[in-house]
Amino acid sequence: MSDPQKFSPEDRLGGRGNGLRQYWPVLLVPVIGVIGWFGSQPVTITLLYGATWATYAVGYDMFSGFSGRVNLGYAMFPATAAYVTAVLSARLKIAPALSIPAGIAAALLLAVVVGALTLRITGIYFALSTSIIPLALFQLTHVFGKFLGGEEGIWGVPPIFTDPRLDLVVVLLILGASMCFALWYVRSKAGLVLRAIQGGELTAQALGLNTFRFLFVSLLASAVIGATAGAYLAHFQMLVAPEILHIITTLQIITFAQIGGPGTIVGPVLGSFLLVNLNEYLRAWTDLRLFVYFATLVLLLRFSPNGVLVPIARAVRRLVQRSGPPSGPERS
Amino acid sequence: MKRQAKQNRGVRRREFLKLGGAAAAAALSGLRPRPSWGAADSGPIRIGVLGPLTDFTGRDIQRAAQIAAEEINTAGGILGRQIQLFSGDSEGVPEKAIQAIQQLAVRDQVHAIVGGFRSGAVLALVPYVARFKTPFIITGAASPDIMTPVGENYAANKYLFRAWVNSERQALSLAFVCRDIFKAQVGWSRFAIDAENLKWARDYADVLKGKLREYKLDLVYETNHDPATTDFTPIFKAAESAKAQVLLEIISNQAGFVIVKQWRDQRVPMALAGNNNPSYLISSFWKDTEGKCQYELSAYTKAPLSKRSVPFWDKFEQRFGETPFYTGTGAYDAVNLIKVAAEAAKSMDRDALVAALEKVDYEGVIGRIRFDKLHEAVTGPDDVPVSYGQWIGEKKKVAIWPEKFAQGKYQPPAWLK
Amino acid sequence: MQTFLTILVFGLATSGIYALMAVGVALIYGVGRVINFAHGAFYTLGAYLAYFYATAFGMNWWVASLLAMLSVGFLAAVFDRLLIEPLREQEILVWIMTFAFAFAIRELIVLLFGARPYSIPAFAPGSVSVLGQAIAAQRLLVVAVSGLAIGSLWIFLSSARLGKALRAVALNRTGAHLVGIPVRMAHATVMAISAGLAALAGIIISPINVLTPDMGLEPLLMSFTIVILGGIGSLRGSLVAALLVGYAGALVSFLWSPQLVTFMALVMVFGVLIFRPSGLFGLAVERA
Repeated sequence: MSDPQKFSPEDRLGGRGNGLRQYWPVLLVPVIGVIGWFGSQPVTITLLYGATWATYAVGYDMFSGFSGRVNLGYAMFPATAAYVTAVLSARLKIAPALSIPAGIAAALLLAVVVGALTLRITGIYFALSTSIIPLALFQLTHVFGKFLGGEEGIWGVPPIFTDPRLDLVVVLLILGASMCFALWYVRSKAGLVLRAIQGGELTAQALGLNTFRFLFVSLLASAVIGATAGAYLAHFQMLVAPEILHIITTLQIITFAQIGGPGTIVGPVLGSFLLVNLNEYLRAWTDLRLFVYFATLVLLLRFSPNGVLVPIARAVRRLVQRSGPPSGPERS
Repeated sequence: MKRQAKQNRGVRRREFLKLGGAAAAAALSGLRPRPSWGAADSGPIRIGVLGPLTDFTGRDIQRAAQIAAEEINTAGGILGRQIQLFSGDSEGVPEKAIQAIQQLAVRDQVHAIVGGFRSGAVLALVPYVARFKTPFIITGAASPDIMTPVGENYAANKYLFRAWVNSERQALSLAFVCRDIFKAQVGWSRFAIDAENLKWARDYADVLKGKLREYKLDLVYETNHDPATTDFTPIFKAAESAKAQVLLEIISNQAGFVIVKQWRDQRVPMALAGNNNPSYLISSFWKDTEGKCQYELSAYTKAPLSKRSVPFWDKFEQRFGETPFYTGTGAYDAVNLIKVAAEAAKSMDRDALVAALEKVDYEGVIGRIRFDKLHEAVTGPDDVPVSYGQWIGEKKKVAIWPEKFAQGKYQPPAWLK
Repeated sequence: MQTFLTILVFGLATSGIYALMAVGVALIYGVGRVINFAHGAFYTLGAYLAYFYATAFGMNWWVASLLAMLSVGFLAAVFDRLLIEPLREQEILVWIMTFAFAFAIRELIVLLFGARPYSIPAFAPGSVSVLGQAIAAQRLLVVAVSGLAIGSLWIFLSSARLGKALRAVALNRTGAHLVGIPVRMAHATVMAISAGLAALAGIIISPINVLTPDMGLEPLLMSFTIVILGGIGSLRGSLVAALLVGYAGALVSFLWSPQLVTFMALVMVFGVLIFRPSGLFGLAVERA
C-alpha cells in the first residue's frame, strides 16, 4: 500500500489527464519491440517473458496499487486462463482461436465469483482469502493429475507462431492495450474512487460512494488483463506449469510492481523488465544466480521501498534540467 | 504565449527523456551482441548436458559425460576436434528445463544434448528440440509418450533419441520378478501398487497392472502418492487392510528414503519391492537409511551386460567415490553414441548425425544398443539393463533377478514370521 | 481398532509439528504485526544446520540441534532488526521482504548443500510397540518434545517478565511503549522465539522423512491455515486449530487419500475467512 502523498505532481509521469499526453508511457512498447525484433534470440525471449510479467503487473497495479486492497491471489487469473486454453487446445485439440477466449472468459468468471465472495472483507483478511484460491487450484491440478497434468503441467500446447519475434509482437500489443486501458481507467472517475478507497474505505462510503461496485468492476478488468497475457503465455511457452499457481508468482508480481513504483501503472512495467532482465543477466553466475537475485531484491526493498521509478525519474529530470533551458512554472 | 509553448515542449521533452531513459535501461540490460546462428563447423564439439544437475538424479549425468568426454578427448576427440561440455540445469521442472534448452541451443550453440531425467520436463522439451533441430539423447526419462511424436511427425521430431529403457519395459521386468520370484519361489500372489503421481510412474503402473492380470496375480490395492509425500503410513495401513503380501513401489525421488525408513519402523507386514531411485545408490543408501532398507528388493544396474559395463562402474566409483546412478550410465553411453555417429557420418551436421544414429549398433554400458523406428533403444533380445537386487548389508546388494545373474535367493523380511 | 490407534498417535505427532509452527506465526503477528513468509525457511534452515553441526563438527545430535535452534533464532532476530523494522509501517513491503528473504535462504541452502536429499538418523532409534502397533520411537519423541516446548512457551508468556512484556506489546503497542517496554527489542525477541520453534519442528521431524530445500513449504502453508482458523493473534486459537487440523488431516489421509489433506485445509480456511474471519478465538472483524 503506497502512500499517495509521497508522489508529487511532477513525479507522476505522463502528467495529469490532458488528451494524449497521458499515454506517453505506452511509447515503451514500440521501443521494446524494436529492441526485441533486431536483437538476438536470447534478448527476444527475455523480453517476451518481461512483457508478460509486465502485463500481469499492470493488471495487478490497476486494482491493488490504487485501491490499496492487496490481491494476494492475483496469479489465479493468468493461471486459470492458461490452464483452460492449454487443456482445450492440447488435450481436446480445440483451435487456439477458440481456446484463448475461452480461457479469458473462465478467468473472468472466476473473478466474478471471487469478487462477490471476498470484496466485502477488509484489510488483511481480504489478502489472505484471495491468496487461498490459487493454492486450492494448485491442489486441484495435483488431485486431478491425469487430466490437469499435476506436478508436470500440461505440455504440447500448440504454438501460434514458430518465430519468437512474432510472439513478442503479440505480447507487446497485449501489454500496450492493457497499459492504455489502465491509464485511462485510473484517470477516470473510477480511478479517483479507488484512490479514495485507499485513503479510507469507510470515509469513501460515508461520501455516498458504492465502493463495492467500483472495486468489483476494477477487479474484473484487472483479471481480464492478466488472463489475456496468461493465455498467450501458454501458447508461446508451449507449456503450462503449476508453478504459476504458487503464491510465489503473485508475490513476484507484487515485487515487480513495488520495486518499479506502485500506483503508477508504468512503474510496475519498468520494474518487471528490470527484474526479469536482472534474472537473465545473472545467468552467467550459474550457481550463485538465484541467491544474488533474491539478495538484490532484499537490498532494493530495504533501501528503496517505494520503488526505483521515482528516484530514477528525479535523477533523469535533474540531469535534463541542468542541461536544458531554465524553466518557469512547470505546469499551468 | 510562445514562452508557455516552449516551456510545455521542455516539459514534454523532459518527460520523454525520463521515460526513454528508464525504458532503455530496462530493456538494454538484456542486450547482447548477436551471435552467429547455427553450430560451428570448426572448433570444439559442443555437447550440452541437461538435467537436474544438483540433485542426485541428475548430477551423475554431468559426471559420466565428463568421464566419457575425457576418454574421447585423450584418444583424439571426435573427428579430430575436442569435446567441450556445457551444462543446463533443469532442476527437474518443466519451466526451468525449457529455459535450460534455450540456453544450450541458442546461447551456447551446442551440436547435441544429452540428458533429461524427469518425463514431465522432457515432454515439455519435445517441441523445442524440434524447433532447434538439435539432436537430443535422453538418458533417464521413461514415459513412453515422449517418443510417440517421432512416429507422428518424423520430419520435425527425428532429433529425439532415447538411450535408456522406458517405463513400459521397466514394468515388464518387475512383472517377471513378481511371477518368477514372489509367486514361484515364495508363494505370494497378493500385490499392492503405489506409484508416485508423475507421468512415467502412472504409465509404469498401467503396464504393470496389465501384466499382473496376465500372469494371474492378484492386485488387491492400488494408489498414487504425491511426490513430496513425507508420510506413507496411510498407504501402508490401506495395503495392510487389503491383505497385500508385497507392496510394489514406483518412486523416482527422495520419497524413496522415506518409504523405506517408515516401512521398517512400522514393521509393515509385507515385502517392499520395485523401482526406488535412491535405492540405486549402492554406496550410500544403506548408511543413509540406517540399514532400514534391508530386505528391500529393488532395481539397480550393476550387471555385466557388456564388456564396457564393469570397467565404467569401477572407473566412476574410483573417481567420484560413489557408484553411478542410472542417468550416469545413460549419459556415458550417449556421449559415446555421438562420437560413433559422427565418425560414421564423417560430419557434425545434425541431419547426418540423426541418420547415422538410426543405423548405429553399439555395445554400451547398458548392453547392445540399436534404435528402433521410434528412436527407442533396443538393447538386445535377452538383455535387460535393469536388474533386481536385495539389500543385505552396507554397500551389499545381492542380485536376485534376472535368474541367470542371480547371486542368491530372495529372503522375506525377518519380522514377517 | 488398529487404524484408530494409528490415527490417534499420528494425528498427535502431526498436530505437534503444526502447533510448533503455528504458534510462532501467531506470536509474530500478535506482537510484531508481521506476516512472516520466511517461517518455512526457518524450519528448513534449522534442520540443515543441525545436520551440518553434527556431521561437520562431529557433535552429538542433541547438542547440534540446540545450537541450530539458537543459530536460527539469532539470525531471525537480526533479520527483524535490520530488514523488517525499517519497513514495518507498510505491511505489503514486509510481506515481500519476508518472501525475498525466504528465497534467499533457500538458495543459500542449495548453494551450500546442493539440491540432493539428506537422510538423518533418528534421535530415538528403533520402534516401540504401542498396543500392538509398531511406531517409530522418533514419532513419540516428536509428541513429547512439541508438548514440552509449547508448555514452556505458555509458562514463559504467562509468568516470566519478558513474556508478560511481549503480551503487553501485543495488546497495545503504544501503551507498552509508554510504560517503558522496549518495543523494538520485543519484536526481535518474538521473532527469535518463533524462528527457534520452527527450527525445532524441522529438526525433530526430519529423521522420519528427509531433508530437501523445499521441505518448509508445506508446513508454512499449514501453519498459516491453522493460524487463520484459530484467529490471527490468538495463541490458544492456534493450538486448538493445530489439533483440529492435525486430526482432520489424519482422518482424511487414512480414510480417503493423503493427497486431499492440503485441499481440505484450504477449503476450511476459505470458509472461515468468508463467514467468520476472526476465526475461532480471534477478535471480531469489521466488514465493509
